[in-house]
Amino acid sequence: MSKNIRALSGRPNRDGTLFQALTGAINASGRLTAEGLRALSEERLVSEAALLGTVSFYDFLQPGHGETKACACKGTSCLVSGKHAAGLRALSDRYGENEIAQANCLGYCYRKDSYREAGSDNDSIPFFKAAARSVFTEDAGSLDDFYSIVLREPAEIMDAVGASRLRGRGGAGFGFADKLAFCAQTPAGQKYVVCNADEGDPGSFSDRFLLEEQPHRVLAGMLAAGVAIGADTGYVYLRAEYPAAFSVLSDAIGVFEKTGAFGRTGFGIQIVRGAGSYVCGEETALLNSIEGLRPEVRIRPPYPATEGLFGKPTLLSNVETIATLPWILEHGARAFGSIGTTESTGTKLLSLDYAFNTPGVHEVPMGTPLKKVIHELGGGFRVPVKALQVGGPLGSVVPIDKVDLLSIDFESFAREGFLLGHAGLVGIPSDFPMIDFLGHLFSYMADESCGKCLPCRLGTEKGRELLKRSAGGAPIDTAAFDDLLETLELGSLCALGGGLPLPVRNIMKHFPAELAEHFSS
Amino acid sequence: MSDTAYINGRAYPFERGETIYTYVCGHLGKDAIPVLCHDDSLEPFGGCRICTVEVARSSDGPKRTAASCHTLVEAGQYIFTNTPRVEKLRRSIAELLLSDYPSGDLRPPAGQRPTRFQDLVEKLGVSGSRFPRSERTSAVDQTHPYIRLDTAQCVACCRCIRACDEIQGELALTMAGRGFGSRVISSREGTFKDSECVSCGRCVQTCPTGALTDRHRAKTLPADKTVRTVCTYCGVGCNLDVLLTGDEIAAIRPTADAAVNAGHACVKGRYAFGYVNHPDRLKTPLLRKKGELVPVSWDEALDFTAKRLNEIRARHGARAIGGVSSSRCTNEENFLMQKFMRAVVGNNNIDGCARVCHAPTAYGMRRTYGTGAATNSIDEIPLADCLLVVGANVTEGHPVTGARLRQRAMKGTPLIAIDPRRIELARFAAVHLQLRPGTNVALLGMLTRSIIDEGLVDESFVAERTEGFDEFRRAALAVDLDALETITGVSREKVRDAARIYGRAKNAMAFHGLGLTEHYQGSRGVMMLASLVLMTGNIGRPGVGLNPLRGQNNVQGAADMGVQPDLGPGYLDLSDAAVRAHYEQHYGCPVPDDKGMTMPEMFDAAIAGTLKALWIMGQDILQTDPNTTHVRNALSNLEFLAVQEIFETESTALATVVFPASSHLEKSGTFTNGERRIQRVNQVIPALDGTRADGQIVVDIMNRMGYAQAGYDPALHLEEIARVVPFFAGVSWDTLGDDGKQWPVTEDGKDTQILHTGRFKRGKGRFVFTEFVETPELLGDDMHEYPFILTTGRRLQHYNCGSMTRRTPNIELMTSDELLINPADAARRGIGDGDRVRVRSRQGETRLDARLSDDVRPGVLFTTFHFPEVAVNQLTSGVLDVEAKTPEFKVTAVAIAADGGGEKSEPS
Repeated sequence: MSKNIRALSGRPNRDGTLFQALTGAINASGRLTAEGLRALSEERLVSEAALLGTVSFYDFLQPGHGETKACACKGTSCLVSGKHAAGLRALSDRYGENEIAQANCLGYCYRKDSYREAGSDNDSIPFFKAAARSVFTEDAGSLDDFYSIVLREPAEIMDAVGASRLRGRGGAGFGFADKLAFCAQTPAGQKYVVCNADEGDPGSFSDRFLLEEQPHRVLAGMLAAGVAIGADTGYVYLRAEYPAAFSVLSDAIGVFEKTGAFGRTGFGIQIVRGAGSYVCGEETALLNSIEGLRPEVRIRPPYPATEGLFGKPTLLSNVETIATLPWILEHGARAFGSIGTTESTGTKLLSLDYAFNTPGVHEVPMGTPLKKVIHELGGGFRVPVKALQVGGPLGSVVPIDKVDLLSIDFESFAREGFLLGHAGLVGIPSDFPMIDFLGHLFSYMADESCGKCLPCRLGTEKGRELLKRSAGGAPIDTAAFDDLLETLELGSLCALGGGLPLPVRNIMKHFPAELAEHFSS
Repeated sequence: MSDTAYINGRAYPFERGETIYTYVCGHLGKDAIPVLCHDDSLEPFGGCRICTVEVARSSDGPKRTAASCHTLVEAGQYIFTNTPRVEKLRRSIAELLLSDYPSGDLRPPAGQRPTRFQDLVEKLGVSGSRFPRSERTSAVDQTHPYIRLDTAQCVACCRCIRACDEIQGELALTMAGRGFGSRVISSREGTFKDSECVSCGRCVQTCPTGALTDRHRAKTLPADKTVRTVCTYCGVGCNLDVLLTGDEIAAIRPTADAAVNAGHACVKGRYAFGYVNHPDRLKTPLLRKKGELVPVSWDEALDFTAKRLNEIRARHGARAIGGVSSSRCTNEENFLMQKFMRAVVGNNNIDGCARVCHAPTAYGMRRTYGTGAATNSIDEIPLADCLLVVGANVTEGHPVTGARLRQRAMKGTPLIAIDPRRIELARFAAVHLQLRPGTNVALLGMLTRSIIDEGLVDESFVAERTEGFDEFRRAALAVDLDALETITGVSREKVRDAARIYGRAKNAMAFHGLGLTEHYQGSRGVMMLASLVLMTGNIGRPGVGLNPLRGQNNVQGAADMGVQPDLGPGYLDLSDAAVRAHYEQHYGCPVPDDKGMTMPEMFDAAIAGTLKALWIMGQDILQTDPNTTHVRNALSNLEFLAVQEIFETESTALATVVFPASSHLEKSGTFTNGERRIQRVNQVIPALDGTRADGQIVVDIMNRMGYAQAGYDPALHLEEIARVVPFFAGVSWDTLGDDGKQWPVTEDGKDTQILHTGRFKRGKGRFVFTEFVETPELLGDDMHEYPFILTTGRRLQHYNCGSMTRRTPNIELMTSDELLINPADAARRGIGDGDRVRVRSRQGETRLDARLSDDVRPGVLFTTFHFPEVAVNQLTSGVLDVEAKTPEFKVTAVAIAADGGGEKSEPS
């Protein structure tokens, strides 16, 4: 991470962050011209090379992308269900090849078809409340009152969060109160709250639901976190694949800025839009992205809580975690703790894809049996399903016969060698070959690896190549493949490379017969 | 705080905040953990993961892997550096790399040493790969004269990118793309030629493979011998390791652990040594016979010279002979040169190139502080929380110091740049005061006034350590701010912003260059700046002070050695009989008390016919001094002109006798850098056949003129200097050590990093206020004919008259002098980028290619003087600094026109 670019990018500029300026400098046809590049370099004092390096990282900043008119989704759900192929077929009737973009997940997993055309952004996500109390959708009265709820003394907020035993919903399940405390305790004149709305995991759309349907819960949660740690600025890092969320959230910020809470705190919230890169959901890559650096993963320590955005203490959490705060502050930690299990308190939003009969976002109390989720809430499967991918491509692959052992909480998944992650549930149809699923996982990570650490940079690519060659009839050297997985797991700098072996091993362990012919014995 | 952890079962202490890598290597040696992406001079990166170790909370507890380069040691932690698991991990990573690495490059080519990567792979015992080769594009970029990029050998460690960022600060390199397909690029075109690269070579140095190499193969060259010496391209004084193959210089590597440059250098220091064996080198003395310079023997040249000097002295008196010494030469040579003039010729007509650069600094700082030298040291830059740079384009003129300043400015240390041009540092500055050339005194007056108005005077420092403040304050309060705003072209608000930053800083460090000194009011500008430093108490502790950036490698030393008419070695005043007695005792002969002449005075005297002979040691005054016509007339009017040089120059063409000198790589001695650091220059190669060290040439003539002077021997001369110069008392060749010593060096050998700590050399710091006076160059009835101000300086790629750098591949990096002109001025005159422009001053005329740039304001032009065919100094004026007689290179009234077009007046 370049401290120089970070410092230059952190210089006050009324035209927004370096990254915002950079995406803004891309012209209508999706190109950064030589003049545009030079002008930006002059103004922001960052070399042309460094700016080119940043631009070249993102899918949506590549030349030609701006000319596309429709976007097909090639996320996990769409791939295994055949919706990807169908979407491309449908779009190719209406558009030329250069007019069709492809995204890793549009968050349309609940839909029958999943591609987007200009003007078809608005699509309401089905929501199902399966908890006695909804943390995210209860009516909270007037917006002015709602925002006032979170204006407490910092210590009061810290205490409530501590007593609620809230764990981060981004995947790792880290105690949220600890994160808040690290941030609050680090002395600094400037601190930030960053909401990670880069919901990149294919199969997950619960954050999109919150952003589009409950934007004020997200903003009020950011305000609460800001008050708690002493930050006066918040950023929402929003993935580019969610255009509707952007307009809803922009409007909501406008509304927030008219409330008394804003008047009293002056807490400013800005949206930074991503540009098509999965790794930006990793917290340090996300910070680099906002700063206009190449969104490569940073070493830790320092952690964002002590040295985050522009080097300042930063509370960085995902949408769902942040959107939980207003309810905790309104109803109290005890009420929150009474929902769910002792270790995993509160409710969880689940994203059920189109493989279920009742797809959509389901809010369940933590601890809800997975079996119940599938058969009662989800209404069972549309097609025969042999496994679920839970929590995105770096989550786990749960064979259907293990479902009884699991419930929606961090503990049961860990105990059985799985990961709950962000709790997107994608059904893998029985007729989808697992060797192809392995190919999808490696290919996805090879495409999205930032390329900084060698295990991930090389391991994902070599895995992809091995699987590609196996499709051509060359069996994979099992020992080499095992070494590859071990290298990824032990050596990778972040969870992108380090997390890939888990679903791969899940598949290898639970579907050995299907894979046997593809591996050397 | 120290704590204990365990390495492979044994307890060792560690410092809190230390990484596992530095901890382990600190105790077990550098090779205890293998690395690929790590470089001790760069920040931890965590990319290659080769340095992974295992850690546990107890000796038999569960182990987890951690990258040692960025993981901090914890108290009581058990660290295992070589478990089967980490060794396998390292081998697997290497194996993954080898699947794409060209197999032919696994071993070094014949005659080369292995790269670090080749070494690593060998040590890990990996020779092939079970993983498939992937498709990737690779390319070889050979567009740069020194640097070559072959991406096929790149292992994506990003060391090059990080070196360019963290050390040089240029950010000229980046990864492009994402994941496996990402690769190092330097520009959109993918070529170095089109990039923002400043050719410092640091990327090549750190690259662990053959991906980035230089034309000298400095990384893998199996040198027969390596000699450490000091660079001659500016006053920073970078230490260089010169690699030899036989007696040939094969490559240069900046000395890794040198106090001055810590492994860094610029394009000149690292690469521009090819001039040494250029066929143009002078190899035999030349004597003018029948109007032609013809080769003669040394004896003939020396005998002739001694005879002529004796004749001239006999006929016209000693005062008819002048000597010009050189800041390019060693202290010992400068000492001998002044001794030659004073003890042998018998007058004080000794001057040197400091006259055309930093004489006002010496004068101004002596008057205000008592010592005409930098008060602090370069490595204190990180301690300053404000940097003030006045009239110095540091990133080009003093690139290694410039990189340090740039690093701080980029990271947010507020920098105030006072410069008529938007130099590179000004881009990163908190405030750029872009004044009209020639108005430093006016601007510093505004700044002074603002400091007072804002209540930022350090009253207690002023009361305790200074004198003359009341009068100074009165004068400052009397300035007419409206008038000064008009004069400088800078608003009082901007000046106030600067005053607040400088005045409120805990430690503010000031630097200045020739943009302050080479003016009609040059010395006055220095004294105003020195007073500003005093009034804010920014002197006498780390991270503050006033620090002149010396243009040439030994400007400081030449002045220290007495190369000025009024002050002998050690700045002792020759008008004082006791001082003369001191010198006489050491020289063993009378020392004259005449008021010697400065260089400009010598030129006038030559034209007037009173100066008959001139001896020039290592300087092309005809190209580099202002007002070429005037200098040419002066030199042409002499009866006798001797020049010591390594190449034919504009000046040698007029000489009576030319002595072929050895270059600095061919002799030993000492240079004193801009921070008073006396460093050993070690002879690297035998002197080119037919050449002699400048010092030896002077010795030869001294002996022929009847003074028994021992042959050139730096250690011996240094002994004499230590006796003569008080602040050299404890200096000797053997005890200088690798990093040299900063004067004053007391008899017990202790040196001094910071001056004026307890008291000023002159007792109290003295305030001097000066009112702005317009330079005569910009006055006169004919001013309407010359509506532009031309200011001059240098560029990164070339050095001074260019005689050395033009004879290296640096010429490919900058092929000619250019005229910077504001686009509005250019448009009004129909001048396009690259067009030929005729530039005319009262003194002369030349032609230059235009470069349109916002870096200069309308009405201001900038150019350099590196190329004799352009000969920019034909234009520059004869105006001198009132006190120090330094020429005003920085302000010349000129007219311009598109070549072939007619001239137009009024610049705006």
